[in-house]
Amino acid sequence: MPTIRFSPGDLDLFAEASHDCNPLHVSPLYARKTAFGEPIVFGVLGALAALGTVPPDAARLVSSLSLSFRHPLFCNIDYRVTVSQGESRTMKIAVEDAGRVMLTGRVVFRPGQAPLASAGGQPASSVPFEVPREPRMFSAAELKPGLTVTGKYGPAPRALQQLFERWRLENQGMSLGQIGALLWCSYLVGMHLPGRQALFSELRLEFCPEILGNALPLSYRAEVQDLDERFNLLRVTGDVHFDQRLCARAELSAFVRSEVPHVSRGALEERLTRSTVLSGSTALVIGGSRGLGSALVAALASQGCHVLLNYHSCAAEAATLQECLCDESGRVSLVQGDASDVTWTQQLRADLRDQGRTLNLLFCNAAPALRNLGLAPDAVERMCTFVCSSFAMVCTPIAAFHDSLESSAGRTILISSSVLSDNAAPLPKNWVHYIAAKSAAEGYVRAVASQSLRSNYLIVRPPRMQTEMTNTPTGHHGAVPVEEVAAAIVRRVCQPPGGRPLEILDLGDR
Amino acid sequence: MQSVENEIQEVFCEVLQDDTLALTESTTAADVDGWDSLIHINLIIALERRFGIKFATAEISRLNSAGANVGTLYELVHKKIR
Repeated sequence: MPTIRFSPGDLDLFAEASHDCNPLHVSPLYARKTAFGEPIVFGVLGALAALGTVPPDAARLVSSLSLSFRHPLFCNIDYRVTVSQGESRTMKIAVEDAGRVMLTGRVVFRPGQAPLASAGGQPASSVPFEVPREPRMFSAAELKPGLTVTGKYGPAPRALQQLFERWRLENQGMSLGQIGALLWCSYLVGMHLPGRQALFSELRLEFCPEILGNALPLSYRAEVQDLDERFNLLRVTGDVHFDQRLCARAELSAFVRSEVPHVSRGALEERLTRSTVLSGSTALVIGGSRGLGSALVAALASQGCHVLLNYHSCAAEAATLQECLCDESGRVSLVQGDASDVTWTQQLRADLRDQGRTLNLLFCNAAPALRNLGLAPDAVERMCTFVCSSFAMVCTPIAAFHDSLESSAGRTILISSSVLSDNAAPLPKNWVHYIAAKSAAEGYVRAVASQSLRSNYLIVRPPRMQTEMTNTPTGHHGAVPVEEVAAAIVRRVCQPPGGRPLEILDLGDR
Repeated sequence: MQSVENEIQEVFCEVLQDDTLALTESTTAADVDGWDSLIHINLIIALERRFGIKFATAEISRLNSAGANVGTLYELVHKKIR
């Protein structure tokens, strides 16, 4: 069974060829802050790569193409491609990973011959047209039926040729013009409709007979049909023309990823009474720049705590939060570093000691991006990597600061998950690694707590929250605001420990 | 004329690209390979198109909740096309 594998260079080449520069695909820094954790492969690139594995046949032409991008593809993973013959002149393609179908395609052929790519055509660069460098960003209110975008489009000729060769698309029944139309779909969704917040879902492209050879550029007109607000799913139709003749019709749908709101001090104040219990204490919040971590930082600062806000790569978010909280009774200091790095945590511990600071509270809140993984041998290595990296983010800071917290009779708070609650709903099927990682962290904390003489441990099991980690088309359904969870945690921390070294705060069943 | 159950079965086979899929009232998402949250959206949309109906957000959540199964879906579709 053939496999396909993508490198970051493949993503760059596709972006150059298609002019789709959506940061979800080409900016590791941007993608790291999303639910996906790293750049995802362009859906159309995944489909082209899969198409390139089909045995070549120079006697057929693609007349229509339907693609469903079910789950994101990532770099450096081997994906299996299965090809099966459907009804007459139809071929079905599936891209699979660890038993999960990630992308499906249905290709309908007709007899004919695509002109050789090497035969060339009108080079795209010969007719100047402008392509944006930054994707547009529409609000849901702006994405009304009837919203139209028009323009000229042509892939970058040299990059298109390289793409053609890289994925062996010669004799696969598509001319350069047809591939150009396919790349336009990616460009339209990623750069225009909806642009920056796009997550491509489905595509149907129907080619008119005898028009699209290797000739480029194309002109296009695309129109919003509707935005299904239940799922933030945008449906767009578009026509592609060459030389004023219709050559392809497209139906596209894409999820519009919502923006996760910043922590709201107002929402926290409604849920958390100010007190002086933690005044003068020092708290280290691992992973404090976004999501629940940022709400914890704000809640602790409001209680007079001096908060050491640890972040790894979200410097701008950390600085903004610090500035936003500058009028709070508790000070916020930024400490950049990788909490799973033993050297870094030891250095931080030494710095605090040199500064004469006593650590009273340690919040282990950081976790790697969570991807669904099937229970299959192909996924074992990635499961192990996830569990190790997740576990290291907890065990490293706890090992580094255990003595300090013993000296101060302090408290360590582990942010676990309601999936480990006794009365949890059926466990998500593709979260085996997540459950294993959270179980390992809880087990570690239980063991350390049993050896502690003065410090206390609190395991928190929050429900699904409105964070970037859950910012997927359905992830926010039923999710609770981070302020609600942070307030509940800090309320508990403000209470004296119950005399036992380990307590569990289960917030999942409320 | 096809029964509603058969039509639902066809929609599932089409969306999940699995012609061997056999639904019963007690089938749940956990029983069907590939029926995850994103596919659930595709199924909802495909069913809406097939039957010319619209599910409310609360109904979609109900179909997603613990204890929901294909029987819940049959019941809901029957109610809507009545």
